[in-house]
Amino acid sequence: MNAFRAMGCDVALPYGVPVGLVRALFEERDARFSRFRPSSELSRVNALPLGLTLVSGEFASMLSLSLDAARATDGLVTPAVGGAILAAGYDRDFVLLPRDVGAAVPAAVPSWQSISLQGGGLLRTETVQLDLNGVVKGKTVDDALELAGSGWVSAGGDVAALEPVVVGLPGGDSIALHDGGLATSSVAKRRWLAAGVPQNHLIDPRTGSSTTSPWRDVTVAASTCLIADVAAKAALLLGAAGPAWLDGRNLAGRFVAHSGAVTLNESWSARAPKTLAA
Amino acid sequence: MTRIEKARRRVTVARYAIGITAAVALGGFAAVARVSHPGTAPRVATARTTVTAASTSDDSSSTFFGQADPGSYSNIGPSGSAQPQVQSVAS
Repeated sequence: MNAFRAMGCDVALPYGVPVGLVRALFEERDARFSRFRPSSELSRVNALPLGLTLVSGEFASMLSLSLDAARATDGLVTPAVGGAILAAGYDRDFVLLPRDVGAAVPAAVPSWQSISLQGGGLLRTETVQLDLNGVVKGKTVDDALELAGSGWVSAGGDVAALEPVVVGLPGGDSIALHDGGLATSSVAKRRWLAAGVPQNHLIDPRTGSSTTSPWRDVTVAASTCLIADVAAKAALLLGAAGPAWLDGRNLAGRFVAHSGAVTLNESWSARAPKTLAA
Repeated sequence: MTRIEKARRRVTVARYAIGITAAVALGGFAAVARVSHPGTAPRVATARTTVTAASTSDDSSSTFFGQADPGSYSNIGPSGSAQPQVQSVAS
C-alpha cells in the first residue's frame, strides 16, 4: 500500500496506481485551500472577508460545491464557518495547537446566503471567513480516484473505490465497499480545551460552538466521497434526528455514540444487516 | 489654457471616468448576484414564494445527494470475515 501525509491526514492507495499524480493533486489542493498557509488562496480571500473578491476557477468551483452542500443541508455544512472555528481557538495546524487555548467565545456563523459567486467574482455581503474543509477533502478523494483509474483512495476517514474494498469502521467493525464513497465524520480526534471547556473541530452553525451531538462518529455510504462526507457531517450535527434524515435521502448511515454503542439507520441495515454493534 | 493645464484636466477627467466605471461595475455585479442568487429569494418574497423557496431547498437536497429514488443505489455489503484493507476512521 502507498501512503503519504497531506491535508493534515494520512492518504493511502494500493500499489499499482499512479501515486505521484495523486500526491501532486493533494498537495496542490492543500496549497490552495489550507487555512493555515499564509500563501494559500483561501488565506488571501479571508484577508478581505467582505465585498467583492476575484478568485481562481478552481477556488470558485470548490466554493460552488460548498454552497451546494450548504443549500442541501439547510446550512448545516456551510463554508461560512471559518470565523467560528477561529473563535473556538483552532487557528493553526492542529499539531501546533496547545492543549488549552484559553477562553473562547462562540461566534455567530453568517448565513451562507450572504455568499454569492458570478464566474470568478466572489461577493460577500456580510463579513465571512471561509472554510472549505467541508468539501475539499471529499472532492479531492473523488478526483484522486479518477486520476488513479482503479482501486481505491483513502484520506482521513474518506474512502472512494472503483472496485470492492473492505473498510474498517469506528469501534472495530468492517464493511465491504463495492464502489462509490464512504466517509466518517468524527469528534473523537482534533479535540482541545478552551479555558477547560472541551472543544472539537465540528462547529454547529446554529450555535457557533463545537457540536454537542450525542454521536462520536457517523459513517455514511454514498455514490461519491463528497456526498458521503457532507451527509456524515450533517447527520452528526443533527444528533438524534440524524439517522432518519439520512434515510430520507436513501443514504446508509452508521452512528457510534460517545459510549461506543452503535446505531444503524434503516438504509444501512437493509444493505449490511450483519454489521452489528461494535 | 496652457498645455500643462490641458493635460491636468485630461488626467482629472480620466480619474473620474475610471471611478465611475468601477462603481457602476461593482453595483451591477452586486445587483446581478443578489437577484440571481436563490438564497435571496425569501427576503423579498411573499408568503406564497417563501413556500416555493422551501421546496427549492428540498429539490436542491435531492439534486445534491442524487438519490431520490429509494433503493436505487447500494454500494455496501457485509464484509464477512475479511480483514480491513483500509480504515474509515478519524485521523
